[in-house]
Amino acid sequence: MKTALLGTEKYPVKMPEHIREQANAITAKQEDKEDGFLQIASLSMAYEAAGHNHPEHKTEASIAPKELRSYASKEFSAALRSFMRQRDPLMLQFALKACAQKKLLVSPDLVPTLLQQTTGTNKNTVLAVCGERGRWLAQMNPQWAPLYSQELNSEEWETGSFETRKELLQGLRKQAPEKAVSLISADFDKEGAQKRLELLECFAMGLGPHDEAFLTGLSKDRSSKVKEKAHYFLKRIPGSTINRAFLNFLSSVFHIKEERRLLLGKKKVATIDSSQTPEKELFDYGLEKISSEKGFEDHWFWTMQCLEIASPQWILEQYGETATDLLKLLLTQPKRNLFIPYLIRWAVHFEQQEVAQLLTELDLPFNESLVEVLSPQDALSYRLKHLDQHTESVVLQLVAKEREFPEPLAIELMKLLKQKPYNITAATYRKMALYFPLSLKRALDSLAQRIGDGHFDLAFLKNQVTEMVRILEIREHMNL
Amino acid sequence: MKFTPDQIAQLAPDAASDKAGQKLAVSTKWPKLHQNELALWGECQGSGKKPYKTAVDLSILAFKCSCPSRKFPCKHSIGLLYLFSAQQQQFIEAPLETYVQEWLDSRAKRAEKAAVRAEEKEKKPVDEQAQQKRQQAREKKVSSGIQELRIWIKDLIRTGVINVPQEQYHFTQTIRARMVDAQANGLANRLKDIEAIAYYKDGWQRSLLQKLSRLYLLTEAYQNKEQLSLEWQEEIKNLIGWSHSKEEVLSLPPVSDQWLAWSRTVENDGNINTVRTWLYGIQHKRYALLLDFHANGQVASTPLSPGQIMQAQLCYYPGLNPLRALIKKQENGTQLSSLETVHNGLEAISAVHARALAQNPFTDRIPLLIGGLRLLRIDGAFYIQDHRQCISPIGNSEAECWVIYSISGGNTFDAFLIREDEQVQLHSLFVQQQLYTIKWV
Repeated sequence: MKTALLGTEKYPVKMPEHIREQANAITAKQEDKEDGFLQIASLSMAYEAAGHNHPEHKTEASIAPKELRSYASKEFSAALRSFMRQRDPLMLQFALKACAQKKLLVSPDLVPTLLQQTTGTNKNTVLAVCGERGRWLAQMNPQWAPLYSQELNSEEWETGSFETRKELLQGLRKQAPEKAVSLISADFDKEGAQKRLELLECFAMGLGPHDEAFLTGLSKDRSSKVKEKAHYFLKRIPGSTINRAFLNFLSSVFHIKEERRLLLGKKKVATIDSSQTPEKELFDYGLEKISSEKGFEDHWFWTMQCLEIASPQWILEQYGETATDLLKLLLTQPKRNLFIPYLIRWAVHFEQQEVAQLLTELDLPFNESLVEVLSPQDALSYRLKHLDQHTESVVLQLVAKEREFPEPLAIELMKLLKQKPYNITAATYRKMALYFPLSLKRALDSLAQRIGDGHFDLAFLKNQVTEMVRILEIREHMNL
Repeated sequence: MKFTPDQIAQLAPDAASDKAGQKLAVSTKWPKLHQNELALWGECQGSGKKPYKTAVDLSILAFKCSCPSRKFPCKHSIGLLYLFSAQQQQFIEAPLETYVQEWLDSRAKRAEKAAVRAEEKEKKPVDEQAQQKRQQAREKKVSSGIQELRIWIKDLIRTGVINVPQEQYHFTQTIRARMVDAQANGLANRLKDIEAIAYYKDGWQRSLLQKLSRLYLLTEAYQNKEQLSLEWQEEIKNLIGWSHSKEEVLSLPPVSDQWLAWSRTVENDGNINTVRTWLYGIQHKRYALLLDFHANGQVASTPLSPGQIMQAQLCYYPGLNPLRALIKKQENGTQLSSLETVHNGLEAISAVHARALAQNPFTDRIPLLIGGLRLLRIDGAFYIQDHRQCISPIGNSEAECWVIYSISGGNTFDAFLIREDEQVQLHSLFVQQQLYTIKWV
């Protein structure tokens, strides 16, 4: 090898011992040094390769534990491969979720690719379908090991990208929100204002008294946005100093009185004590002074801001009224329309089903957040009521629930889309097909065949319905 | 013959065609769907007034469509196969329609004509004098090219190869072009392999010296070919770059077997793709390599899917222990159910390699079906281990190794592998009656 590297000029050819006889024969007939060297090298290397013995390595082989669940069908694996090949995240996530829900596993050849592509959002689904094989592989691959660790890896927090840190924080807020404070507080100051704000937004999940000290500390933050966000959260922590300050002001400014009507009747009315003004510190804590809405009287404006964070329990204790009765009282006020956004937030924050139901009966634009609070039946009626104006948001909200659409709603939806196909986008048609009742496939199929190609919107509808039928067929034949 | 979605996806020329084909696999797009034991056919409603007429020959997989697409098979053909795979009941059994019948007839006629042409060519009297003159001229060209190559190699060795990595991308460029001029393409390809050595890795010196010395040995063998047997002379000429016409190869005695497709790799060289499809004859326990060359944007002409078994007659190219072959006649295939391994353990790789080297020192690739292997990870590197706990490093990529690990779960498995460039690469695994292809592009 040295001769080859330095050249026959500089380093003479050494005769290999193991083929000395053959090498001598070659040298005897060689044209020149190089000719001899090349022939001997070729022979020597072939000789070595032919006699190559593999070294022994005694070791206890690691064997994957037996799976506790069954594997999904071959057809399903083929469908998964096809979604991965086509980079169709929508169908892939849907199929993985379906597989996880049925407590089945994906074919082992897909496990490494899935682990490699796992993101924070689909982690649990992927880990469920990868089974024991995934866990076993992760023990050997440091890149995948953190996916299975329940405890937060401090090294990962310190070395991870900002997105990873945010994902870790979000996960921790779901599992053990109190631990997040100690994690974040160590180097929170070192982050830029925007990143501080983004990290702080993760506190919306699992907000509680354990966060008060940290959030109070942020009252002196350099960024006004961070400060505002901290106050926003502090206001919503029951029993916190700021929360109490707001409620104290509410109890002093807002009253419910009984007024005599005619001779026998009594009627409760909501009144405002205009002599009361908030302490300066309330404004520092985020109470807005003047409304941008025309005609919103200051005292009512302050009252509604405070009411937004008053729990139904507190209202009952303070005023002896249920949340529903209080709402009814407020809706008798002449400026009631100005109260609506605050009342909706109040209903949603404290998950007041009855209040939400009353609000949906008013002649108001569709509000997505209210649906979360309503009973399934009321939610369906509310969606149907607003289907025409808010088709896209209604559909997307239903899709986000990851449950099959109720059949009556699906039928109404298709009737509407037949008239107004552009009410939702092509991407939403695809998403809708994932949760569309399979029982309606035949109807969709015949609809696709009946639609003519005459007009561009009909052509659009035909394409979308055909694609929906195809997705329904994939779902039907996925054969988990 | 019914295809699985995985197999159909492999038939598509690219991912976009596969996706588009899947989108067409819905019955509403096909006003007409028919099947017959010979073919599938249907009419697909496109954007135009007239639907596209699509047909698939099921006996020897082939496609025809009236659409203007330059991709082959087109999305309609792929869609038709997907639909057949998912909803066979939608296809009405019917006698062949005229356009399908005509297409199948024309294919049969073409095959017949080719056979007749080959026969006629064989019978046609050869102008021996002209042929000899041509051969002499070529041999003269090759000989002069070989002389230059020998000088080039010797010069390199005289001054030493220590500086080769610094100019690895072009140091063979001139001599390679000279070999192409000298009609010695086999030598030009070997020079290209020398440029492809991983010079950034330890051990490049050994690899370079091995390739250079073997190339030199080949030139030596050519110079002394008169002293060799006729068979060896043929082999040396093949290695130098003498080619054989398809007709010539197909006129050789065929080997009839059930051939299992276990690997397909594609190597891109600028504008040309070289597709290597490896087959294994289940009865004769013999390997075959189908080579397919096509330009970018076109697809290989041998539509085989991973794990597919075809009953076929293969004709091997002439030479010593040949691997390269051509399909002479192909019939319906089935799916693999079981496989009997001939060799066990790493010692079998060494033994087969030693035997192959003894028979032919220019052997590049050795395909093998080996049983009783296990994948191991030692200090971050992957190895295969046999029943005697002997280990050998493997040349598969890390991603492929994790897939092998996941499939085998640390248990023993049977594998089709190729020994090439002092490395072993696993191409497919046979685990619990199922074939998993690791290398299938």
